[in-house]
Order: sequence, then structure tokens, then C-alpha cells
Amino acid sequence: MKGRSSIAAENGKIEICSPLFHSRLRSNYDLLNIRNMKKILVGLGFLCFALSCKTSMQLPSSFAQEHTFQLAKPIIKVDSVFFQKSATVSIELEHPEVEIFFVAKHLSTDGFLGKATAPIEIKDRKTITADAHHPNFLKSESASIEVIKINSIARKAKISMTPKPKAPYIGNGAATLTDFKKGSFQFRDGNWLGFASDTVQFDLKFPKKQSLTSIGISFLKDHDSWIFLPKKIEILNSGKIISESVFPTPESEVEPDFKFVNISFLEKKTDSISIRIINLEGIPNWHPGKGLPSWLFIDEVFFPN
Amino acid sequence: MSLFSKYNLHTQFSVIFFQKSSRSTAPRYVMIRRNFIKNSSLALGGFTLGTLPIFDLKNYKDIIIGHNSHQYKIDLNWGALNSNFYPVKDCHEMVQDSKGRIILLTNHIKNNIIIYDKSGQLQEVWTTKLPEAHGLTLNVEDGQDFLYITDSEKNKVIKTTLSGKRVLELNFPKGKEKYTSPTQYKPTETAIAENGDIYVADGYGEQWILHYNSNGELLNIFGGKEYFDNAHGIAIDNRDSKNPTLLITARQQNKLKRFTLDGNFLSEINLPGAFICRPVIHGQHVYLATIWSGDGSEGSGFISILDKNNKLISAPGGCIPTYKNGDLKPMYQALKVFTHPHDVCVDEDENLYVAQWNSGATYPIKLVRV
Repeated sequence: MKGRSSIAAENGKIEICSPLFHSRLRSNYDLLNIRNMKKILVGLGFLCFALSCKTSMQLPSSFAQEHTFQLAKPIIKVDSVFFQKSATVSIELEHPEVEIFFVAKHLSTDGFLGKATAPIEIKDRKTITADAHHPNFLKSESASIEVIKINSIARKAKISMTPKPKAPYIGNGAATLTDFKKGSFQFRDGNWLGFASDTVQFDLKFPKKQSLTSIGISFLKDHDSWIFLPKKIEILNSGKIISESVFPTPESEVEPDFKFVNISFLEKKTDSISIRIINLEGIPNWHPGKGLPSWLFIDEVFFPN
Repeated sequence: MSLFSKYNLHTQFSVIFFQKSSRSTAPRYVMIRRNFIKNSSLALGGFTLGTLPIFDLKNYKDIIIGHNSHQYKIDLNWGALNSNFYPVKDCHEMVQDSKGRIILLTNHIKNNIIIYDKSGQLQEVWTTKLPEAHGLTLNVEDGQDFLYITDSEKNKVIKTTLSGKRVLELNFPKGKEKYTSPTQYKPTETAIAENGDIYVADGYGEQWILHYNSNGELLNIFGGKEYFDNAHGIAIDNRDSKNPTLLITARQQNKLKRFTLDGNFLSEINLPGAFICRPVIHGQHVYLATIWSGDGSEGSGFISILDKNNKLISAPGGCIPTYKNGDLKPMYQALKVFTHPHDVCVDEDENLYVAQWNSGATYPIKLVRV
């Protein structure tokens, strides 16, 4: 047969064959030795079945089985979110046979990854993301934390606040903003300043001129507790706006989170700088508290290093 | 031209149909092909049959949670009912009666009380129409079981028979300087002493512990915000039978506080990271549903079990309890088994029944001791 399929009729049978099949079949026949192959394959199948019988055979029971539950998120601890030289991060989920893997990076800069078996030293601003694995449980959701390298310029400043924070969220007054202590999601922990006004302004006065190129503010976002990010932040020097940042109005509730806002500007040599934080014009319409004043929670003002 | 010649036949596989023919008369290539298909199918079938069971059986292994001497398998379906007929909002607390039945308290006014047998079969349902039925304690008095139920919205405690007949009501202590309005009084739990005295924890109100005699006459008020942030639960600790004391939860402080029966503070048990609900004492152990953990995030609950020395020895759903220099390392959820456990009931076989609050109207889970 030459390259085209042919039609053969023999003994009343109609058969359509391609030449490619014939040549392949002949080589299969020659190589495989079908009679022996049959024995081998069938034997293999029964061997597998027999082996499976030897494994610990367990019929499904009424109890919850492996791979039903998910691991909780690993716990990430850091000695200080705001650091000057380095931060030590530890990641754990104390359960037998759990393995934790992490990635540490910041935006598009180089990062590193690994298995969390010991505390990790971080020397630059990084976001560390980790998740937990276990052979019998579903992989955890990722946990993450951002650590920020800052300098101590803010501590040199005298900070005045207008208005003052609203009780009971008064922390330690203006000192709260430069104590390098990160507030937690428990906003009553004494590390947050809470404001319920249209505008909040921090005026920083340094004993001598500083060279500044950016400023950072640390916020809490917890919609369930009526705590929102601001609408806008303006940075002022000598009464003039030198930079600003605008935030979109949230369209739905999100999980509580921290927000570190960095605002850059052209280098200023100055002994004073102000931060004006403009609140939302009422809680968004999708929220049970729609139209009512939202809270601003701030725990730190910093100058990134 | 035959029908087949009209088809484009440049394919790698042939289509054969023929009348049944004997092995000796069929063309060689036909026989080879037939046998090849048959053998391959047989082998594939055998292989599939053999290997499928391996993968299937591997998955069937019961999960065990908990630590040390107290480990459990999980029966998620134990208390499941048809929610069209027996709905629950929050499952708050559970007790076992003298017949061995498990009694569940919910805040669904259609059925505040749901009674199961130990296998999870429904036995009985009734209601007290309490919209925030919260605390449930059972006490045997002269051979009869009585239930003490708190309602933080109705600002009262009621005592009923097992069929729901009210026999006593404790309303807010009017005229006492600690309370000026009923809405200040939001009782969460009761404990009954051997002599019938009733202790009520005002855990959602002013944090006072109210001490009544068995007739409902107020004898003492102690505690308050000086000692408690959320005095959520209370129990009589009879483990030292000569010296019974009160164990009272300070949930937001992650502590159990021990008081004398006449209201003097003795000591505290620190359980960092564990937002415990009420102590349930069975034998020499204390069982506590831990509604939140760690930083108190939603959905982070587990169960805490203390030994006779009040050391945390097992935390089903939680991380491994670890002590360093006598102090417990902060606890947190390790496995997402529970959402918000609110109470634990322990039966005579030391199985646990876990009622959950704000968990999507789910029914209790049974933990079977292994």
C-alpha cells in the first residue's frame, strides 16, 4: 500500500485501513510479543490490587478525615515593626510536622525566600509573607507583615496635634507617634491615637534644620469598628502644600489591616513640616454607619531610612 | 464507488467493522489489532482496578486533635438537625442530665432547649421564649434535675424543670447600690453550690457576682470591674472537697480567677491568648471553650483543657501548650476546626460536646476521646 488509505473487501468484510497503521502494527507485534505482554500486564494489575489490600485499609468513617481542615495562618512576630538597624522576625505555628515557607521582599527590590526554622534578620524595608504546610491538613492562608526601616528624626521633633485625640484613644499623647511601637488590631491597646474630626493636623518642629525627602504615617483600617483611611493627606512646609496623597473611598468592607503611607516630596531643608489628614465626608453608604463620622486611628509618624 | 471511498481516509487509525469471523480465516493484521486492543483494555482495566484502591484508601484516615492525654476524633455531624424545623441561631451552652441526655441551649426562640441522646438523636425540644438565652447550668435537687438559664437581654435568670416549667426567677437586684436600672444587669452564667446557693455572673453588664440563697434572696455582691473584664462564666470548684471555691472567667483578660464562696479573691490562673468562656469541671480536669485566641481575631477558637494543677495540657484545635519558667506561652489557633466555641459539655466517657456561637447557625460538634 502506498501512502493512501485503501479499501479491501474479503469474505464479505469491508475494511478500511491506512498503511501507517499496518507498518506500526507489524513493529508492535514484533517488539511486544503480545502473548507475553498480556500476562505481564494482567499480572501487574493484580499485583497492584494485592498490594493495596496490604496497606492499612480503612473504610470511610463518620469522623472527620485527613485533608478536611485547613491550618491556621502562621504567627509572625517581630521585635519592632519600626526599626533603625535591623528587625528580627520569627514565624511559627506550633503543631507537629508543620512546615512554614516565607518570602521577604519590598516592591520590585530583591528579596529572599526560605523555610522558617529560625528567626530571620531583616535590614531593610520588607514585607514578609508566610504560609504553613502539613501532609494531613490543607495549606494555610498566607500571613504577612511589613517592617520598615526608619531614622530617628521624628523623635527630635516637638509634635503638636490639632485637635487632640478623642478619649479613650489618647495613647501617650503626641509621644505615641514617635515611640516606635506598633499598635495592634486591638485598637484599645494604648498604642493608637483616635480622631473623630474632619481634619487632623500634626505640626512637627525640629530644633534645627533637617534634610527631608519623604514622610510616613501609620494607620489602622477596621471598617467593622468604623475606622477608615483618610480621604487625603497633605504635606505642608511654611504653609504651602508640597505633596499630597489621595485615597479612594472604599466600596465594601475589607478585613482589618494596617496601612503605611509614604509621601515623597522634593528635598526640603527645614526645621518644620506639617501633616494635614483630611477625613472622609462620612462613612460610605454600604456601611451600617453610613453618613456618620468615621474614625482615624494613627500610631506612628516616621521618616523612612 | 462504494460508500467508504467518499471519506477522507488519511488517518492513523483504521475503522474496522466486519461480520464475526474465525481466528483462522481473519486477516493476520486484523487478528493482531483485535488482540492488541483486547489485551490493552484488559491490562488497563487491571491496572486501574489495582491502583485506584490505593489512592482511595489512602484518604480515609480519621483526624485526631488535642495533645498529651486528651486527644479526640471529630464527629462533625453529631448534632445536625433539619434547620427548617429545629433552627438554631447561636448554640450557647450544653449540659448532661441525669438520664445521660445532652441538653443544648440556643437563643432561637422557637427552640431554646434541644435535647439529644448521646448518639445525637433528637429527643425533645421546647422553648422559654428567651431571645438571648445564654447560660445553662443543671443542678440535681432532691433527685430532680433543674435548669438555670440566664438571658442577658431580658436581664434575668430563670430556674425551670426539665420540661420547661418555671419555678424561680431572679431579676435585677433592684434597690442595691450596684444597679440602678435593669438594663445594667446582663447575666451570663450561674453556678449552684452544694447547699443550693446560687451564684450569678453579670458578665455582659457591671461584672458583679451576685450570691443568692436557694430561695432567691440576695446575700452578697462582689467582684465588679476592679476584678473582671467580662466575667463570662462561673463554676464551683469542688476538686478540693474540703475547700470548695469559685472559678470565675475574666474572658478579655484571658484569666480564671478564684474566689472563696463568700466573695474573697484568692488567686488567678493565667491563660494568655485564650479567650475562655466558662470553666466546666469534670473529674480533676477543667474544660474551657475558647472562643477567640491570639489577638482575639474572629474565627480563632479552640478548646482548652487544664489538669488538676490547672496547667493547660491539651488544646484541641490550638497550638501545643508550652510552659517556660512556669508561664504559659501565648496560645493561638493552629487548626481551623472550630469557629467560636462557646461551651463544652463532658459526658461520663469524657467525650466532649462543643456548642458554637456565631458560627453560621451550626449544630454542636462531638469530640470522641481516643
